[in-house]
Amino acid sequence: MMTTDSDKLSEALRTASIPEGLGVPAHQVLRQAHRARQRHTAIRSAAAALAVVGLAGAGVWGNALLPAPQEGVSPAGESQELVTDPDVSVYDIYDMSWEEQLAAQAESMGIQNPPEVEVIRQVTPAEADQLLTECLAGKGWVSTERTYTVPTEQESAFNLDVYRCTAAYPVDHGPKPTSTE
Amino acid sequence: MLGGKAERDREFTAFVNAAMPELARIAWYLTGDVHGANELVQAALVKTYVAWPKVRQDKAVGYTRRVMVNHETDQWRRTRREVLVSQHHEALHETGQVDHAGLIDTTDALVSVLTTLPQQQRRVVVLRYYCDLSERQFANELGISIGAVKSAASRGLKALREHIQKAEEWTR
Repeated sequence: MMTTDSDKLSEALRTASIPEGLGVPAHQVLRQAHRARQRHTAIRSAAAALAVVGLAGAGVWGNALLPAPQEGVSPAGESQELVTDPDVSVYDIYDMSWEEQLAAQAESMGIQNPPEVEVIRQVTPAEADQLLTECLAGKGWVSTERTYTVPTEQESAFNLDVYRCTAAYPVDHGPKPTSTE
Repeated sequence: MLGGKAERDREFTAFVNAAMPELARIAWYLTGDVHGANELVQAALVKTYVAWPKVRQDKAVGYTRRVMVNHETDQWRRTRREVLVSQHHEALHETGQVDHAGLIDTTDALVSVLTTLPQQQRRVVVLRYYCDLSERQFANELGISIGAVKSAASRGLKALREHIQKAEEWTR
């Protein structure tokens, strides 16, 4: 069976010998983690205390003194909701409109003036991949072993077709999940 | 998952011991050097520990991987790009560690070439071809469209082929 470049790359990445000293002992990670958690707890306690002060102040001066809501913190103490680390952007797509996602994709692909694309229909995430593959195939782009091999001179055209095919089928990701997955 | 601090630490330590080889390798491929990789993996694991009571144990590796990739974005933008590009040229020229059949054959050449890729392409190459994530899994993990994943994978793989061919010319 012929091995493709992607198979060779996968094999190379998995079997490459790692350099000496790579990796951090678990006890060292734990030590740093304890310090971080102490800082994190101190910040949340301070925020909770501020919220209590704000509520007390609101009783006298009205809602103008209430602090802005802080992610993962409630005046009652540690939040019971499953939350993501604020720095983790995996759920950013749920906070972006479809237009914003398309604009970000166009920018990442170097498309200066994205074309207007007629929407065919809204799709689920489960449908999106297959529809994109079919749409690209309809424009002459066929993948081999999950990879599109595109000559340099055709790269712009490929990116534009990827954009058009993506834009034609807006993806509805559903409600933002509340658990880390 | 929830319990006393001792239980939490035991669970987390077991997780770190089991996941460190994979996470450290990913960090090394993303950063190109051991020190940077160790910093990156430790920072990501620290964040995972803080969120530990709320992280599903069967999803902990994926969670930490996402934290690591996002953390690397900030670090990479600030300090490392120019230095590692110049190191790549020196490494390939001095050691000549390139397979003349055009295949990626030695570790040094592989890591050197990876660090020359734009960040998005490097992420896609490492996570798609090392972690064997599907395009959908990758798109969901990083919050980008499947179209962007396909495009970056195509360009990343092509760039790797081109770099290997150029490196062959330098070593002749």
